[in-house]
Amino acid sequence: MTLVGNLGKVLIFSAVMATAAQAEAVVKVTLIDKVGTGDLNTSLALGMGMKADMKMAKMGININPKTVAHGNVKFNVTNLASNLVHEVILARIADENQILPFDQNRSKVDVESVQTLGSVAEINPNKSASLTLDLAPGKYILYCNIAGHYMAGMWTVIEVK
Amino acid sequence: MSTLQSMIPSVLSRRRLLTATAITVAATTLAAPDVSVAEEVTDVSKLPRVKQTLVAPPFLPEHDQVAKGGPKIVEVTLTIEEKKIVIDGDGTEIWAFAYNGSVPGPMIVVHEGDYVELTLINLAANAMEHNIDFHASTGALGGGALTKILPGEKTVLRWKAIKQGVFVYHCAPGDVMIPYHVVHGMNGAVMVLPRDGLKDGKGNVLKYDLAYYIGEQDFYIPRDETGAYKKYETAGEDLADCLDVMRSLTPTHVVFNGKAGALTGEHALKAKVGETVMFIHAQANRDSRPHLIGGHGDFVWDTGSFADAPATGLETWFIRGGSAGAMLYKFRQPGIYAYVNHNLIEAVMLGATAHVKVDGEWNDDLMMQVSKPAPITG
Repeated sequence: MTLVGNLGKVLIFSAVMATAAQAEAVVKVTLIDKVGTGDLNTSLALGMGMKADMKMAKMGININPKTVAHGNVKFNVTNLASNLVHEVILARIADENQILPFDQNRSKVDVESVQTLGSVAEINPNKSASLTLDLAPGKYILYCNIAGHYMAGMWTVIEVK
Repeated sequence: MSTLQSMIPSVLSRRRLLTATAITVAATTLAAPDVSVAEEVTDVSKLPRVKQTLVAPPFLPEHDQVAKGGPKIVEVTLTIEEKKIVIDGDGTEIWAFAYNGSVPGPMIVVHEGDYVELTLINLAANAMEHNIDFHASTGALGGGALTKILPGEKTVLRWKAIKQGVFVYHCAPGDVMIPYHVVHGMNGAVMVLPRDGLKDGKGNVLKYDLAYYIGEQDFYIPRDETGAYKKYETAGEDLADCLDVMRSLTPTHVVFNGKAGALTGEHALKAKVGETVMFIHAQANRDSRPHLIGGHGDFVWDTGSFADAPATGLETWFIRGGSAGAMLYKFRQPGIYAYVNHNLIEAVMLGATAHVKVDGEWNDDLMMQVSKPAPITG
């Protein structure tokens, strides 16, 4: 009994230590999708650095907070879409004016030429997933690279200080 | 991978269910070939149309207790707004999903045989798909299957009020979003009055001088590591956290009209001695047990159906989660009454209390203080 009790305490203690040592920042990421039938058939140009009116976007990514300290950052991603599966890819960027290389035929960002650091694939509607990355100071883009979604406005930028 | 695996049994069981239903239908058809279930169809193009201006609870839109003339088409508009509201005196917040901006949504009042023609609007600034399921209506998941709209869209639904009583309506966009939207305030009520007014079960007409609509709402607010209620920057951001709290079936708040204290103190409901007041109590999700401290339920339709005779002289009545009920009470004494959910923990600690301030003459015959509290002597 005593042994089990002590063991339990040790486990709890080490769990607390681990949390304290990591001190990871948590970023809440929500995936917004207001796209109706046929909306993606029109060609959109709402990518990063394209100076587009983002109010027109029917897809988007909200993050809170928008700035975090460097180190471990945990992204808790929730897909608020009613029908569509989404994904989130995180890549290093120079700044928000950068234009990502885009493959028009596939309607996707050309991932080969972007410095991808991590991703969460296939998040179903109403479901959540998380991703933890050790990030150095700088700027990063979070975007969905399912065909058409990036140019529909499904991206945002986070700053790591 | 795991999603796919978990889907297989549910697909199988659904198929089994559908097969069972098909067999039942076939059996019924064989056994009763002569029974016609065709409903009378009205030419709605010839019906008069009226616009009903909806008002925020605890009030009801202007209405006649006894219908004037024949059936009408009653046009109403509900605009869905995702907005941050404060739900208690400590500043606890929730991003509510509100029909016409209020929690609960406004009451719609019609008579049996009338048609409700709803224009449902999902504001472009919203983040989520919404719809509406009217418990008072018939078919298509209460209209839920015909009203799914994305932000920036609107739709019109017409349904015939064939059941009399008080009924809940709520958003039901699918999957976990159904309870999630309901516990973010996305519910309201409809009252379908008998054309010839309310009756006591013995054929006597019952009238009310005033009517109040109390929407009870259970909230499930996530807490941080220190135990403080979490705040969120946008609607829907709390989904994962909130689902965890909802799974505990333990609300952090049970309130009337969207906020602890929304109907107390200076916001108390008002009445006069001699007035008969109707109290409609709606709870879209969870059981409740209304009680008027210092009074009674003179006539109570606790299931909500006006087709049934009301119970009389009740101390406490029961509202099943997912329903509304109605009560009539004639105030006989002045003073402050508390109208509570008589789970007193919920009433006092979670917020489910309203006040009714009643003016008039005190009746010594009903109650009097024979001797004031004083020390025990001898």
